[in-house]
Amino acid sequence: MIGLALLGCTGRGDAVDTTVLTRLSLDLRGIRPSAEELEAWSDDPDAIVDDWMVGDRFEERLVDRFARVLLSRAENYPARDIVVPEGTLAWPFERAIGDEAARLMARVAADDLPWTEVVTADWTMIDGTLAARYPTDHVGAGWSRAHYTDGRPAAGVLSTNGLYQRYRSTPSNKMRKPANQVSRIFVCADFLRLTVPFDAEVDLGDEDEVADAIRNDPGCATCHDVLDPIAAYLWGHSFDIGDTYAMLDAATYHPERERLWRRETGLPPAWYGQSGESLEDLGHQIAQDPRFVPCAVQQAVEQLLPEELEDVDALEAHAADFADDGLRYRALVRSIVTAPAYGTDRRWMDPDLLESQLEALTGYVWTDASGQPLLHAERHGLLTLAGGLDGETVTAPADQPSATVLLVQDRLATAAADHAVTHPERLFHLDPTQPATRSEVRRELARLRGVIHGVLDPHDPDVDELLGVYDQALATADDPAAAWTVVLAVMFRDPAFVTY
Amino acid sequence: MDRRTFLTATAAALALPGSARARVQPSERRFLLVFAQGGWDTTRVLSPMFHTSRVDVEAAAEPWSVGGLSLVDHPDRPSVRAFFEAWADRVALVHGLLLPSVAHVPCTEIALTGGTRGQADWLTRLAAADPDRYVLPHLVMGAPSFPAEHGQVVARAGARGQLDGVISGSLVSASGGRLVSPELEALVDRTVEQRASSLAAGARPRDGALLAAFDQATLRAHDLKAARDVMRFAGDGTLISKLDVAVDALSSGMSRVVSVGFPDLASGWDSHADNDPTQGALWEELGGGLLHLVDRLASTAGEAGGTLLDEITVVVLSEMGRAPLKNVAAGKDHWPYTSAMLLGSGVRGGVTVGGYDDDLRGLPLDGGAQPSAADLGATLMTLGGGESEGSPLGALLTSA
Repeated sequence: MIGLALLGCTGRGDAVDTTVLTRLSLDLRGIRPSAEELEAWSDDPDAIVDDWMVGDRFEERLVDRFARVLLSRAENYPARDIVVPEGTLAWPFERAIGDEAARLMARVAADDLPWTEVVTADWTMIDGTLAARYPTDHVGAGWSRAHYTDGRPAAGVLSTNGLYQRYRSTPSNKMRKPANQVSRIFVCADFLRLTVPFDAEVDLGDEDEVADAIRNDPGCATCHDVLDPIAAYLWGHSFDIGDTYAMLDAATYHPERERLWRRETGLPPAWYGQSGESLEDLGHQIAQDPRFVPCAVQQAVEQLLPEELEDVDALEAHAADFADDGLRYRALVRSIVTAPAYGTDRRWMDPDLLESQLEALTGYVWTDASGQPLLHAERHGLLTLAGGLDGETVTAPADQPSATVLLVQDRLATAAADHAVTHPERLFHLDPTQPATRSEVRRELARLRGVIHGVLDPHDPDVDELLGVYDQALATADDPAAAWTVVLAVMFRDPAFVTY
Repeated sequence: MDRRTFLTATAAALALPGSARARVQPSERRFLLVFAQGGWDTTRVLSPMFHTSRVDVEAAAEPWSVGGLSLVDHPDRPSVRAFFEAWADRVALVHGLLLPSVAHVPCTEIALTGGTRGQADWLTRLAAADPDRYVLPHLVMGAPSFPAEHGQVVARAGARGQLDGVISGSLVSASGGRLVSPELEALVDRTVEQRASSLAAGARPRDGALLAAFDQATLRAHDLKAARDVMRFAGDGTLISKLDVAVDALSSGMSRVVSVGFPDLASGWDSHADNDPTQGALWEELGGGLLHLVDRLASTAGEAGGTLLDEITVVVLSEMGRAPLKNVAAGKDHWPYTSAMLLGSGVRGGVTVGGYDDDLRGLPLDGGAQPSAADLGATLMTLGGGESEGSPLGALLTSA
């Protein structure tokens, strides 16, 4: 239950700390609460969290979060040159490949399915872009649940093409790369974070000697005895990245390759010592692994309340809340955002959140000439300039601003402000292109301060400061539209807007 | 002079016509990292292995000695030849660096920080030592960096200089958006700066660090816009264009450190298939880029009477090497031993430290220790005046 103390109140009827409500809304929905929502919070504060964990916005916010866990929004998917017909854009396809698994996880959460579905589901998430290349029963253009029709095992994310396109193995890697990612993503055990004690006596250029060391050298076998059997589950998803045109068969599952482990490593499938046969077995083994739930908790806390990452008691309490509610992801989110610590520290806004709230307020999305959202793209876009992660050279979002992050916000804020003024129906109650009396302007500024910054007090002194800015801009440009653009740009760049 | 005044003065100096090379802060050694992303094959240029049959070599390649260095020459790589013919006596090579992993992500972190414990990379730490002296203390163009707690000093420009389109606003207008007039933009900037400053001053302790970082970043962003007419970040995606931006940023006092990723794709050098065409083309472009870079550094006046080459240390590095022998796809897989190249300020030229055995495994130094990324990092920290416990490499590689 959401605590009154969390909202900065001692009892119903007190002034609410709208900062915390705004944080809740942004974390759960990617948008700011409306003035009406801020005013109505005291009717039933406990219902706020549940209300805001419903609908498309909640699911889209989860997609962004799970894409970070998966590091899946990269731009070097090898299939792009093969499966994107000449003359069509590559970026929608790349984005769709990367989002498949994240959307599956988000749909499990949004549909209140047990979290174990992420590794056991017999369905995935497909949109029209993917459906044109993948063997599925998907119908339509948008994202929806669909089934692969190539007979692949039912193993949730483990059966998505996207996982293996993102973490491609090489012939010598023998599916260890995706195997390690499976371990990292679902039980938070990343073999790559271990320091490898290289044995100088092993001839690393001799395949037979390397294979022997992997099995018999304690320094190598410690990891490979665990990792290679996990990899053995994954051979049905193998494809040869050395052959460009073999990328085509990366779209299809290959049951005839499932037993390639016999030739490649000789180690049969097993999950941390527990043997199995199929990818479905792997999914069930992961779901029953005692680290599965704590790992999901850790990943959620890392993004929603990183201050609690070192608090073992708090993590255990969230895990208990998660388990007590049948591993419904909403229960986990609710447990975290109602924790006392949730309301304490301000945090920096990531590009996804900045974009979503500006789009909701103004309708503006910053794109390039092809329509690609610039804050989503790295190679030709602004993803890491804006503080985002590309999953390759940058694997963690910026948690504080740099000059370039602020410059991106500067340009985005001004363009969004201009858009809001030229399309006033979304944000304004008056016509911003026409002269207005000073009292009308002040009244509108006070209302906008509530909508944009969550400050509802009409006597707030910052409203008068904004009125002064409006006056200066009007005196400079002699144009009400320009003056409103300036005021909105200031509000969109304010620390009260870009931190939360 | 307080910080706000100082940065404004810096930007003013930069904005004076013809003064993009203004003398802003002459005393510190600056650094340029060129990071070969994906794992280079050192045996194609830096480490000749013709004496052993256990390492694959190209048929047309030949051993070559120049300027005190033993290298590999190839007729298809004239730019590499031209670079070393001109500058080998200023280049130091480190061979046999062990990066104890075989995966790109941890190897990259190890190469730049010495470990996988979430530490800031060495060059960011140097940039953060006195961040108020620079508008963009560590400028990153399509390269990895590990800012850790120093995020505010690391500024990304994009692999193709997208920052230029942000500063100029062209990226807004190209998509149909509109900015405001310069006068109104100045009003917005001034208001936001005042707001940031007042909030930072009055912030409660828990929010203070974030709002203080916002305040400082606001000032840096202001200075960056003020310098828009004299400092360009746009490029055509080539290495040479990135290096030109890097030299501009370092020579103008904009940055203390610039990191350049080459090529744009993080997996560019990752030649699991068709090793020789991939590596050969990249080495040739790298050679041409380095020749252009060092020619420019050596022909541009520095701050202390010499040239920029006397004031800027260039580090060329990759996160891993490639295996001695080709695989079935004529590619080469990952290899935990690699080489690094240093040149310029403080570097003893014509020197090779470390080596490889007949199986391309790194050899220990005379003292018995295996050269490591941590040793290389300690050397850079020493060169940069940062805190360092020293390293056996330092004495061998540095001249001052």
